Amino acid sequence: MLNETINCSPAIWQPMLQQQVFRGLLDSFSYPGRITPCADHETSACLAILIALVDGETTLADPQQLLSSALWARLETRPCVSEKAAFILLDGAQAPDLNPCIGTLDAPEKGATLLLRVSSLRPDSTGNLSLHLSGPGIESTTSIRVDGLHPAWITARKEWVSAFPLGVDLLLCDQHHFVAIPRTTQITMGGAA
Amino acid sequence: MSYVAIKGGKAAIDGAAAATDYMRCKNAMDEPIKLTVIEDQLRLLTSRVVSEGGLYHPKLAALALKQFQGDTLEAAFALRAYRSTKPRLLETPLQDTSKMNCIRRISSAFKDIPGGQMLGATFDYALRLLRLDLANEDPAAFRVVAKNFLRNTPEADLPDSFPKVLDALRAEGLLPPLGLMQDPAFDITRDPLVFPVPRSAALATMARAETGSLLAMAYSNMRGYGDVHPTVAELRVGYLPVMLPHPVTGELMEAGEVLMTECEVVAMYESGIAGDMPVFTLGYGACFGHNEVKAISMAIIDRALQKGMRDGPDNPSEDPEFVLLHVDGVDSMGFASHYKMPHYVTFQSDMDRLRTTQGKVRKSGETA
Amino acid sequence: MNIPRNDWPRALCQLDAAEIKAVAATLSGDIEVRDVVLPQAGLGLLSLTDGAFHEPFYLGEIPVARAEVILKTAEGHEVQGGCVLVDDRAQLARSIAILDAVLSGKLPGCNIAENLVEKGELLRMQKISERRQMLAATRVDFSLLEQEDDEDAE
Repeated sequence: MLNETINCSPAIWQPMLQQQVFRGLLDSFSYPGRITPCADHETSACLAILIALVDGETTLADPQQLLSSALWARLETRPCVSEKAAFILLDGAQAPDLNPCIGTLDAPEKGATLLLRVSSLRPDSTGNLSLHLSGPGIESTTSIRVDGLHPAWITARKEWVSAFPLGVDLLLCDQHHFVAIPRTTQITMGGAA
Repeated sequence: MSYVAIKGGKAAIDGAAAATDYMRCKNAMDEPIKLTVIEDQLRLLTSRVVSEGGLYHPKLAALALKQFQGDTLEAAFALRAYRSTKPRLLETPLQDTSKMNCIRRISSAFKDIPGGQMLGATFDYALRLLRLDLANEDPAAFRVVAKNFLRNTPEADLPDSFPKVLDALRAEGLLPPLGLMQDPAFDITRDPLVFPVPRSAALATMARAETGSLLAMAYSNMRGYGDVHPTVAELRVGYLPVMLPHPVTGELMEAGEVLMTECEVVAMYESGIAGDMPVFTLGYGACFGHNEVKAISMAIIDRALQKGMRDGPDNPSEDPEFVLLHVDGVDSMGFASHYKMPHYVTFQSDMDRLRTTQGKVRKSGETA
Repeated sequence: MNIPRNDWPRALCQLDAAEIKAVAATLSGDIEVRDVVLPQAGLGLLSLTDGAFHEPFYLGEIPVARAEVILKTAEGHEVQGGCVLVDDRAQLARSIAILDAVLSGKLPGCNIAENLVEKGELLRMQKISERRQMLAATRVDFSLLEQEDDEDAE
């Protein structure tokens, strides 16, 4: 479990910052692998993303209880089990232990978005776990180095996205940045250089 | 079908926006219309836009009427556009219209109804003679009308709400049984109509339908394209208190009130199914605001659609697809209006095809 | 004050919003006010049962404003307040939520808030009375119809 607490600044509850976070998400999903800074430096990236995205018409699962009840009250979203939730917040350091919704052929968009908290994201290929990404939105390949992500996530994800258009979309979040890995991206793992 | 790029018309479009404002403000001696003037003195027009916009916000409906210079279809469109920018916060618990604070309540089926019949503010019995004295209304006279009315009318000891007339008929066993299966209500703001649709989808669609469209459909049924033959069991207009749970205590409390019109019609009785007693058939209509013609029309069509959904339609007003897809004012007005957009490329190809075909006909005429 | 908590918002809503906000601001001046949820203004679906078959359906959408606050006095005493209105003004809902806390927790300034509620309730009663007068003025007296029948019979 990560030692760092989830921080929350008062400013993130206002529309302006949320819109900036949303713009960052658009960029990040358009260019998978691009490490995007969170517009609010005082709020943990995973929380800023949830604040920007969730509301009463979607669902969130928090199986590891990473969010306080005060934060849940403010998010005003619907709690849900991880098998059915549209958004799931998880600690990336722990191995995956869930079966997220991967959507249906009629409604592939119902596949879950997983927010995985990691300790750091760097745009190079050294370090604990480096991921080489290719696919739509990526010119040839790009690499990122992730600390605090259990490698079993990559294996589990491979199975969940094996039947396109079904699948899940990932957002890796450290304290101040995030990276989007949509279901269309191919990942190969590399160890320390 | 492609539309000509906006570039060529941008200056003209900007000019049109300025021209509409010019038309609105041409008479510089007039006062700009206050929204309360529209809400109060044109209350029935405001009611129409509130119900066709599908959002209970009389002040914004008045604003839309002012902005679109009285065009009810455009005003309803503006209200719908506004609501699409707001987040959905909640669904209310089921509200009880028998708690309505009535300002009008009548029945054509019965003379004596519990609580009595109160005409309220209605034009039903008015002579349709133009009141020329309204052309140059004296402001001083205007100011005392309300005060005089209230002073000259005694306050009667009347209850806050009145029971439903249908409840008495139901107690006597004359009505069909209440729905045992309570399916969740269909949300037309989130899901499209894919037929067959449940009755709740029909009611919701008609509640925000364009008044004239509903009226024409209902009238067709009344005149013989159908056989509802309705009697109004009860028509009520009043303020429904909206009960919502208090955020802290959780208890239901009055969060506000909504002006609405509600109509229940009793239609021809039908023989019971499988030896059951014959009972009256029923239709129900309800809408935001004060709009009686709409509520009555909706009740008649509700009954017609019940028959059509069960037995198959014999007439257009009994056909759910025919009715429900063509009564929404924003949909129908939008489609009619889109014909004004440039269709130059489509039409060019129509002309080319006609010329080619004419050429062939001419040629075959020559060789014959 | 005889007016129960559940009836405070409908009384207050008869008054000018500016007056309510001003009083709420004054009474919460020395107190810490925390928003449990952000004051929101959005839409609600109005659910009714139809009069014919009592089946649920949505009549349409209504504006809804909602707020929930916690007031903490200098002594550390915490009181919850909340408000939900058929209205589009989130800050008005927040002001009424503050007054809801002041009144229910009997915090300092409570009597000023009570006066406001009573003032609003008077206006509300007047409005209801005017509606009753309209009904009374237009009530059909069928007994007169029967009198005429008797006269015809003679």
